[in-house]
Amino acid sequence: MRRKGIVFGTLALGVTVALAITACSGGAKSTGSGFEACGKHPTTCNSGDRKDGGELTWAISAGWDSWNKNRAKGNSVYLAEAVQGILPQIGHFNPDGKWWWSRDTLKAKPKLVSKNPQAWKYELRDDAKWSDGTPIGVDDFIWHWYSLTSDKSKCGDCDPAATSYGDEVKSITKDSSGAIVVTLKKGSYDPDWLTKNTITYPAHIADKHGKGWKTDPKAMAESSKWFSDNQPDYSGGPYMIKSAKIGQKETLVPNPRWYGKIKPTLDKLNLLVVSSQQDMLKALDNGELDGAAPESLDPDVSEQATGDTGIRSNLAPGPGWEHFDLNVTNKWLKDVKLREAMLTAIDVDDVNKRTYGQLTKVKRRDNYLFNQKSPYFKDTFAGSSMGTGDIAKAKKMLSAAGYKLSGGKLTKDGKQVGPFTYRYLEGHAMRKTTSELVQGYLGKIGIKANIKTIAASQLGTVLDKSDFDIVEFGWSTDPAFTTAPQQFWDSKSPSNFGRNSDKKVDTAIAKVHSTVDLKEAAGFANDAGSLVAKDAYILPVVTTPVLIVTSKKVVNVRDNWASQIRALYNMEEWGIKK
Amino acid sequence: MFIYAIRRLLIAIPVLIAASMFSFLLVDLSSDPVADYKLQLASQSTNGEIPKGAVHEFAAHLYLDRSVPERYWLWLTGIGGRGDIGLLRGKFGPSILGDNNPIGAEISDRFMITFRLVLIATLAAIVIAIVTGVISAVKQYRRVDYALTFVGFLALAMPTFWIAALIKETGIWANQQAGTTIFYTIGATSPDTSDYSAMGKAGDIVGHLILPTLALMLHGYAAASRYQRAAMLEVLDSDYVRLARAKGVRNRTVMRRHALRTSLTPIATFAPLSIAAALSGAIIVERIFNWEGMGLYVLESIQKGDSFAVMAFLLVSGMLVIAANLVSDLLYGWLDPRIRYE
Repeated sequence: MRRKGIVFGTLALGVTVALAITACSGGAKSTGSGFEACGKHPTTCNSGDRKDGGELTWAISAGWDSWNKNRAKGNSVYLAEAVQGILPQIGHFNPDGKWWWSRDTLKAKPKLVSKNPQAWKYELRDDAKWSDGTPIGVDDFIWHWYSLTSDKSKCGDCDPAATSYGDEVKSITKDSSGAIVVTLKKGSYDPDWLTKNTITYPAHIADKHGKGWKTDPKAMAESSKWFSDNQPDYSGGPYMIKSAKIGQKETLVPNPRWYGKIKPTLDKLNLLVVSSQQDMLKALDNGELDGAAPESLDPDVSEQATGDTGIRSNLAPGPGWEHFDLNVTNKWLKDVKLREAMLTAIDVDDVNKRTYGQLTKVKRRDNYLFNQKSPYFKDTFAGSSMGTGDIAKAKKMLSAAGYKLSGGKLTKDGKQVGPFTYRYLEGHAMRKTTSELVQGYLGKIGIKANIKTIAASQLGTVLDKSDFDIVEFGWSTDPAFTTAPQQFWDSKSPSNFGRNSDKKVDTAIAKVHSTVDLKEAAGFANDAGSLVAKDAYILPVVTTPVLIVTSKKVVNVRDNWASQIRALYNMEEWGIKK
Repeated sequence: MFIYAIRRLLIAIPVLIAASMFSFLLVDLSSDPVADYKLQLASQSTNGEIPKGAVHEFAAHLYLDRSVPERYWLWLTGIGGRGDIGLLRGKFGPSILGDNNPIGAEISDRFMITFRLVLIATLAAIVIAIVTGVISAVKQYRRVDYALTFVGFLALAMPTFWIAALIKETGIWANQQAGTTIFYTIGATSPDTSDYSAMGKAGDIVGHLILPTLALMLHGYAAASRYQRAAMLEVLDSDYVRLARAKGVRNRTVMRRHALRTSLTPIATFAPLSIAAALSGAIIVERIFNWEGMGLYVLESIQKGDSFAVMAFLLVSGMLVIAANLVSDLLYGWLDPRIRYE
C-alpha cells in the first residue's frame, strides 16, 4: 500500500514538474480553467490544453486609425492591440506585474554593461526572424530609435508618439559577439531600461520604402509614413494579418515562421471592434464573440456578466486609478490649508464602498504610482488625514487657517468660500455617485459644490483649460513607473491638470531619472509622491476594477492589468479547450 | 415633367446649402478635436511633454486653424486648400481619422452596406404592408382587422431602438433554443468570410441581415399598412367598384383588377419617401447591431468632431431624401393621370 502511494506520489510529482516546464510564459504551472484562481495565480489561471485549430473572435473597445504605433497621430491602445500579434517583443509584463524577458527573441536576459554612460545589451536568438526569413537585427533597433526621436537629423517628420527613449539614445551598435548594445547619452539614465521594448517594425522593409533611411532623414520619414499607411504583410510575432478593415476588424492567422516556443493553435483569431459593452455581452451570449476585456467598467454590464452562467467573467483591479484633482489656480483653492481640509472631509472608504464596492472588493488607493501588490508600494498618505472623512479634523484645520464656519457657510475675511464647480465625465455611473457624495462631504464643512458634467466631446477642452475647480477622472499606469511622475506632476507638464507648480516636486521628479537602479528610482518616485501629497491637490481614490469576459471554450486567456493591451499579452497561447 | 424635375432639383440646391451650413456650424461648435488631440498626446507622453509642433500640425492638417466660415467655404469650394478639400472639386476634405480613412472611400464602402439594409427593409415593409393593409380593409371591423391594427399601432408606438433591442433578444433566444447561431447580432458579415463558399457567404449575409432588417422594417411597415388600409377602403367604397360588382364581376377580379390596382397609388408614392425615412432609422439600427454602415460612421464622426465626415454623410443622405421626394412626386403623376406638372 505504502509502495503504491510512493509510486503515485512520484508520478504526480513527475506530472507536476512536466506541467511546470511546459507551462505558459510565466513559467508557472497550470491552475485550471476559470478565473477563480486569478487572485492567487494571476499568470496561470484559466489555463489548459488546446485543441488544434478553431477560430476565436475577440472584441476590442474602439477602432484604430493607422498601422504605425510609433507615430503620435494614430498611436492608441487599440492600435497596440491590432499589431500585438505581428510585432516582435523584447518582453512583457505578466499579470503579476513582473517583467518577463522574451525567451523567444532573446538568448539571455538583457544585461546592463555600463552605468555611465548607461548602456545595455541584447543577445538575439539566431532563429528570431521576420516572416520573410530576414533575421531580426541591429537595424531594426536603430529604425525603432530613429522613429521615436525629435532629432530632425535622424527623422525629418516621424511625428514620434514619445521621445523619452529616442531622444536619450546616443548609439545602437553590434558588438564583437553580435549582441546589440544600446548606449544612452552621457548624463541620461533610464531605470526602466530592462522593460523597454526597443524594436517594432522591420528595417529591411523600411529600406524598400525609404531607401537609405539610416542616413537620410527624409527617407526615414517616408518609411515611417509607409508603415503608418499600409496594412502589414510582414510579421515578427506569432501571427500574421490575413485581412483587415482598418478601425473595424482584423483577422490573424499563425505566422508559419514564428520562432517562439509556444505556437498558436488557432486557425484564425479575429479582432472585432464592438464599442458598446451591452452589445458585446449579447454577442458573447450568442456565440459570435469569444471574449473581451472592455476598457472601462460599466456596472450594469459587470452585474449582468457576473450573473450570466453561460460565460466566464472576472472583475479585478485594472491599470487605471481614479482621483480627485483640485485646480490650484482658483482664488480659494490656491490655499493649501483649504485644500487639505477639503480632502480631509472626503471619505474615500465610504466613496469606494458605495461605488465599486457594490461590485467587488476594493481598497483605497494610497499611492499615486504603485498598487498595493507592487514591491515599491509605500503608503503615501500614512499619517495624513486626507481621504479619511474626518469632518471634525477638517473643521479644526479650517479654523486654524482663519476660516469661519457659521450658518452652514464657510467664510474667510467675511467672504464666502466657493462655490466650486465639481466635474466628471457625463454618463459615468460611479463618478455620478461619487460627485453626490463629495457634494455632501463638502457641505458639512460649509462648502458648496456645483456639479457640472463634462460631455465626452468636451473632456479634452475641459482638462486642457483646467475648466474645473474639482474634477474626478482616471489615469492609467503600468509597472514601468519612471515616466509617470513627470507626466502627472511636473510644473510644466500639460497633464498636470491641477496646475500645481512646486519646485521641490520638480527637483524630486528629476531625481527619478538620475539612477539606473529601479529600486532607487522607485524610492525617488515615492519621495516625489509624498511631496505631491503635501501639496494636497491630487487625492487617489481607488484602483479601478476591470472586467474580462470569455466564452467557456477558450483557455489561456486571462486579464493582465500590467499591460496596456490587457488579455492580448499572450495571444499566441490562446486556444480552444481540448 | 422634365422641366418640373429640373426646377425641383434647382430648388433643392439652396435647401442643401442652408442645411449644410447649419449642420457644419452645429458640428463645429459641439466639439474641439484639437483639445482632444492634446489630451491624447498628454496621456501618451512619457516625459510630460507634447511633441513640438504636433498639435499645430494636426490643426493645420484638418484646417482647424481657420475660422468656421473659412472652413465652410473651403469645404464647399476648396479655394485656399491643399487640394484635398472642396465639394465642387469632388473632395470631401481630410478626416480626423487620418489619411488611411479617406472620407470618400469610407462613404462609398459603407453606402452599399447601409443601402442593402435600407432597401431590403423598405421593400419588405411595403410588401407586408400591402398584404396586411388589404386584408384589414377587406375584413374591416372583424377580428383580423383589429389584430392587424393593434400590431400596426404597436409597431408605430415603439421607438426603433426599443424594437431593435427586443428583436435582438428574441434572436439570441431563438439561437439558444436551436443550439446554433442562425441569427447574428453584430456586424453586416462575419469578420472573415474569404474562405467561405459562395453559398456560405450568402448564408452569412442573410444571417446577419435578418434581425436588423426586421427592426428597421417594422416602423415603416406600420405606417404603410395604415395608408394601404385607408386607400383600399376608399376604393372599395367607390362607385366604379360598386358598378363592377353590380355588373356581376367576380369578387376576386373586382379586388385584383379594380380595387387593388387603384389603391396602390398612394403606397407607390409613399415607398420612395419611406426609403429616406429608413435611412434615418438605420443610424439607430446600425448602432445596435454594430453594422459598419453609414449610420455608425456618422455617429462615430459626431463623437470625434469629424466635421467633414459628418458633412459627407449629410450631403449623401440629403441628396437621397431630395431624390426620393422627387421620385415620389413624379411617380404620383405617372400613376394618376389626373395629376399634371406645371
